[in-house]
Order: sequence, then structure tokens, then C-alpha cells
Amino acid sequence: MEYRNPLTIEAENLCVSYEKTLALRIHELQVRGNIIGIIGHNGAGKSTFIKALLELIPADSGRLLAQRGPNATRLVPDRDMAFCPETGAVFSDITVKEYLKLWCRLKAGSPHYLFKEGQSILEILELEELLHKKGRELSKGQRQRVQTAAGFFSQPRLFLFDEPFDGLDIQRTHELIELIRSYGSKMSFIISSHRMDVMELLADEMIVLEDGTVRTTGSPKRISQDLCPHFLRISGVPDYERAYEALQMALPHCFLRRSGDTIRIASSQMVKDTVLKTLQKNSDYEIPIVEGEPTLTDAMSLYLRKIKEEKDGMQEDKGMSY
Amino acid sequence: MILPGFRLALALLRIPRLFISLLLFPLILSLMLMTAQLIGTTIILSQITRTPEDMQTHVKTLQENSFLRKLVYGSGARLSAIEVCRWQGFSDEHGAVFELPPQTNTCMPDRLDVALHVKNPDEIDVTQYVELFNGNFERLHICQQDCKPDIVLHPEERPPRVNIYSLIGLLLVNQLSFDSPIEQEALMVFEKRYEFFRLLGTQFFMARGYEDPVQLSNISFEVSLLVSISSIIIIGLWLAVKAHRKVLDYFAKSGALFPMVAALGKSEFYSAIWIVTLLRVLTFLLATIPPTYFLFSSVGESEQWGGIFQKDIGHMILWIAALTSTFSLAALISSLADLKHRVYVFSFAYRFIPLMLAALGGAFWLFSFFFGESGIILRHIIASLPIVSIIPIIIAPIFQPPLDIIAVNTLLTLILITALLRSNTRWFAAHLEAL
Repeated sequence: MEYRNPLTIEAENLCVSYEKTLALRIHELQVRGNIIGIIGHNGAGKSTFIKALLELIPADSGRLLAQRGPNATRLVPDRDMAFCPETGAVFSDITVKEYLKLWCRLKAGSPHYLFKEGQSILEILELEELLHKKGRELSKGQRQRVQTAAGFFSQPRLFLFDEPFDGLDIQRTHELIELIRSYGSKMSFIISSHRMDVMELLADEMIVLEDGTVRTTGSPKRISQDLCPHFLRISGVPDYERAYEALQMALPHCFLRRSGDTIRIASSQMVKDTVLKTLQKNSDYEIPIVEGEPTLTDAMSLYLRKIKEEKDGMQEDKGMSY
Repeated sequence: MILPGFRLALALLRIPRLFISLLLFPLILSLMLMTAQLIGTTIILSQITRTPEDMQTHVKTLQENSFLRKLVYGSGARLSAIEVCRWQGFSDEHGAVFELPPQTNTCMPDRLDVALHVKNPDEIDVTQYVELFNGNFERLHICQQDCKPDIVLHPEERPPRVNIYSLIGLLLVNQLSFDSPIEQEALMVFEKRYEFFRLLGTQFFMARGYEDPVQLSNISFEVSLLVSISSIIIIGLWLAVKAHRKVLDYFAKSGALFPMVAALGKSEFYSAIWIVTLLRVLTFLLATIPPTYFLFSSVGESEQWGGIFQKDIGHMILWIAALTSTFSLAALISSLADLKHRVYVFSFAYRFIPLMLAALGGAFWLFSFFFGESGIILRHIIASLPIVSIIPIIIAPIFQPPLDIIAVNTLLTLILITALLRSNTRWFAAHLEAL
């Protein structure tokens, strides 16, 4: 989807560290889109990136900024941004209503905003039934919904979400996707998530972080192709289980996934011949192998597997050197 | 920066539960502490400032118009002469022995009587007991075992004992001490001691290097005053440190810290925390300073307010400024130690090094009195430096160091506070994750 006022994220020589641990090191970055996804392995620096953008963590050096609008106006965190952390947020000993009123008072100018302009957000996020519950009575998903509402009440130009889909069921996930899409013309979003299926649906641009550095950027499709240049789909295998096991043995560095009666193979190298030979050994029939485009889930699964193997290899090397 | 911070502080306090936990409850607790401290000080001061005449009046009141007797018997005056009732032993047809009081109206037993349990009720000489209990009890029963009022003496046991069976009985027994000859002896000792100090005159310690001689005669009064003022400042600062940490914890635990800081800005959020803190302290000071002032005004005559309190208001203000800045620095250091609780080395250093420095400073300052002239410079250096000067600054009204020393101390302390606050704000900004 084309947006009139897309968001631009720029970074240059950015270094962010906790105590003495370097958490982000970005030489150069420029991403433009209205819903920007940040993905990466655990500890890749996704949350740090968001917090650095919100200026919650000061940069040791370099710059990181967000711009939006035709004149590329620089967005200021306390004026233009809202943030919903992974755990959501509500004070444990006050009601959701009191907490949201506090936000309305602070960011929308009046506590009455909650039941006037804010009413539609309450309805979309189904918060009306939670209004009289105290923070400590809420689940993680409910806390996230409350903080999401608080963020929308701020009417930000950029809304940053840290793992918003964690712990949400399918229905709630789709509701949040719809909510984000419906506000897409009014504000931009940066979403960090492990949910590749959702990010593929939602994001128009993505940043892949790896150990605090930018691995790649681009649209979900481009990222999928970048991370997984070779993808095969095999359907109608007669002895499905045996074939799958044989392929796993033959392709130890590929990512294999079963989906219905289809085996999906994500690989960084050409493996079609190996697949053919392996299948022929196990079956007399000719099995159709389709080269296709990987989904983001396939690509990221392959990528994460590679990272894990590399890290395991490094640890083994370390162990051997001892 | 201040206005949004103020808006956040007010918005927080408008939530009833937050108002109670952040403002009302700590305020009530502090006021209770302060009231206990003031009651204690009042009692001590009323003892310190007594003249022999005051003492005599006090004892006379206790002897002749006792509040306790008024409570128990309806009149504070001493009771008429105590009735001595010697009980008689009888045997029934089965040979069991029992005792009965004399069959007169005046010997009808009552719970608030006093009894002596002895082997031979008819033979014991009770003159001393009559003298002891006269005026506070109506009857003295003497029996072997059957007379059982609330107070029973066993004079023949070794050691002798008295069993008291009620709280009023306990109070009445204590009332006896005011009527006893010991009280008169104590009065005489008090008078002699008072006369001794009167003859000696007001004591002054001519400390070298100080503006005025140190008046020691009324030192207890001054110490009480110092304790009260220091208590107010310490409790105020304790409230400040606790509020500061509490608000941060409150946000951090609820997950609202990051969204709130992001939405409002770090400086604004941090200033809101300090505004809540200051509101707490301000309310406490408004509630405690007037009663403290009236207490000291009513207890002490102005001439007793020795040292710095006797001089002009400028001296007093400068000392309070020095004391407040010194304690503020202590509170700030404590708050930093608390904030950096995850970094053990910092936390330890902030917590204990200033304490050690203050103790060392106090010790050196005291020892400097033995060094003659050369000690003066050391004393002045210690008194002018922040942290090491906590003890000399607290007792400055007694020793009265030169005013420029107090001024230098205040200035240096304020500079250190500013530097620490700046680093604290930077640290807060850089370590939100660690909170």
C-alpha cells in the first residue's frame, strides 16, 4: 500500500551500549515505509533499537532518527511517538479506567477524552469490560491492549510496538493487524516481532538485525529472497514420513518444514539435484519439485538456523581450543 | 520542563490510591514519628528546665492533689488516716481454719485495700506500713492468708514481696513513692545541686578559634533543640529519598516507566518525581514546624536559647541552610546508592564511604581540641568541607564556628549537590533499563 506520508528511519555510525556491552552498532541505515518491521534473533537488538529511537537509551555515538511527512519533519519522542512495551503496562493497584484517564489527562488534555473521542479505540480493543479491573488482575495480552489504547490516545505520528503479538490468539492478532492498518493513514508504525507470518502481512519495509548490526533491509518479499535464495516445494510424496527423514539427513544445512502433504525446503544453496537423488532412492515415482518463493517464515527459519549453527560452531571451536 | 512535570505529578496524585501511598500514608507516619519525638523532647526539656521551686510545686501537687487518687477515689486530696484491720482466725465443726475481718463498718474489705500476709496477725508491728500507705489507701488488712485485696504484701518471705493484682493497684503503689521520705531527700539533693551550679555560675568553654565562648550550662536545652530540628530535616529527607525510589519502583514494576518516560520526556518525568518528592516534604514541614516552634517557645525562656539561637535571625538562617544542604547531600548520596543498587561497587561506595568520612571527620574535629593553636586550622578545614563536616555542622549552634566557615561549607555542599544531581540525572537517563 502507498502512503502519503511515509516514515523514514535513518541511522549513521550509531553505537548504543549497556554498561560495557555493545548492543547496537549500525554504520548506515535508511528505511522508508509506513509500517516498518524489525526482526531478528533473540538478543539481536530489536528492543534496544526501539528504545534508542525513543531516546530511552542514549547513544554512545552517531545518530538515529525518525522523519515523517512531505517535509521529512523529524519526530520527537515525547511529542510525536507512543510506545507499547512487550509486557504492556498498567499500574497494579489502580483500575484500567483510572490508568487510561491518567494518559488522557497527560496526552489528550482531558480525562473526558476517554469516553468521547477515545470511545472507538476502547471498542476496537474491547477494553470496556476491563475498565473496572485493576492492573494486577490483567493478563499480559490485556495489559498490552490497555497500553495500546493509551498509545492511541496520545495521537502519535509514530507508534512503536515491542512484540505486540506475543501471547495473542489468532482472533486478537487479526484484530490488532486490522487496527494498525486502519490507523495506517494517520500514523506510522514500527513493530518488533518474532511473528514472521504477521510481519509478512503487515510490514511494508523491514529491518533484520543480527547481533546489534543491520543484516539486511527491504520489503518482506525481498528479505525472504535475500535470506533464502533457493526454495523448493514438494507435494504428493508417496512415503511422506520416510522421504522427509531422508531429506533431513541429506540436507543438514537446509530448513525443512512440513505443511499438509507438502515439504518445504529453504536453502542458501542449490539443492534440487540432491533432493531429486534422495527422493529417487526412496521412491519409484517421479515426484514434482517446484521452485518457488519462500515465505518470510521459511526464510527467517533458515536464517535463524544458520545463526544457531554458526554460534554452536564458534562455541565448539572455543571448547576445542581449551 | 517543569510544567509538564508538574502536570504529571498532579495527575499521579489525583489518583486516590496513589495519593494515599505517595503522600498521605508517609505523611501520617512521619507526623507520628515527629509527635513522638516532640513528646520525648518536651518531657526532657520540662525536666531540664526545673528550678527547686518548680520541683517542690510538682511534688506537692503529686502528694496533695494526685490525679490518680482523683481517678480512683473521686478526690485528689490525701485520704483520711488508714484503718488497720487485724483479721481473726476461726475453726468450723470440721476443723477447717478460716479468717474474718473485724466486724465493723470501717473494716469491710475492698479490692483497693492493701493487705499484709503474716504468721501472727495480732503481733506484728505495722507502724511503718501505716506510715507508708497512709493517705493513699483506706484500709490495711493483716491476716494469715484469707484477706486478698489487689495489693498483698508478704513481709516475712525472703526476700519480701508484694503481689499486685490490678493495674490501678500498680499505679497506686507507684503513687506511694511521691509521699515517701525518699522524695524529700531527692528534693534536697536537687536543691543542693542547683545551688552548687548557681554558686559556680554559668559555665563557658573558651574554645580556641571560635567567635564566642561555648556556653555549657544550658547545653541540654540546646541539644534538645538541635535534636528536634535535625529530626525534622532527617525525616523530611527520608521522605524525599523514599518517595523518589517509590515512584521509580512504582513505574518500573507496572511496566509504565518506558511508555511514560517516552511520552513525557526524561527531564519532565524526572522533574515530576522530584515534584512529588518535594510536595511530600513540603507538606511534612508545614505540619511539623509550627508545633515545634510553639513547643520551644512555651518551654524555654529566650535567654535559655543559647549560642546561635540567641543571636540575630541571619545566624539562625545560615545554620539551617548549612544543616539542610548537608542532610540533602546525605539524602542524595543515599538515593544514588539506592538507584545504583545493581552495581555493587557503586552502591557500596555511595552507601558506606560517606558514612566513614563523616565519622572520621567528627573524630578528627574532636581530637583537634587537644592540639592547641594548630588544631584551630584543622577544625576549620573539617567544618568547611562537605560530608566530613556533618557532626561539626549539627552542633554548630553550640560551638559556633565562624560564620564564614559555615558559609563556605554551605556553598561547597551546594556545588557538590548540583554536580551529583547532574550526574544522577544522566545516570537515570542512561540506566532506565536497570531500574
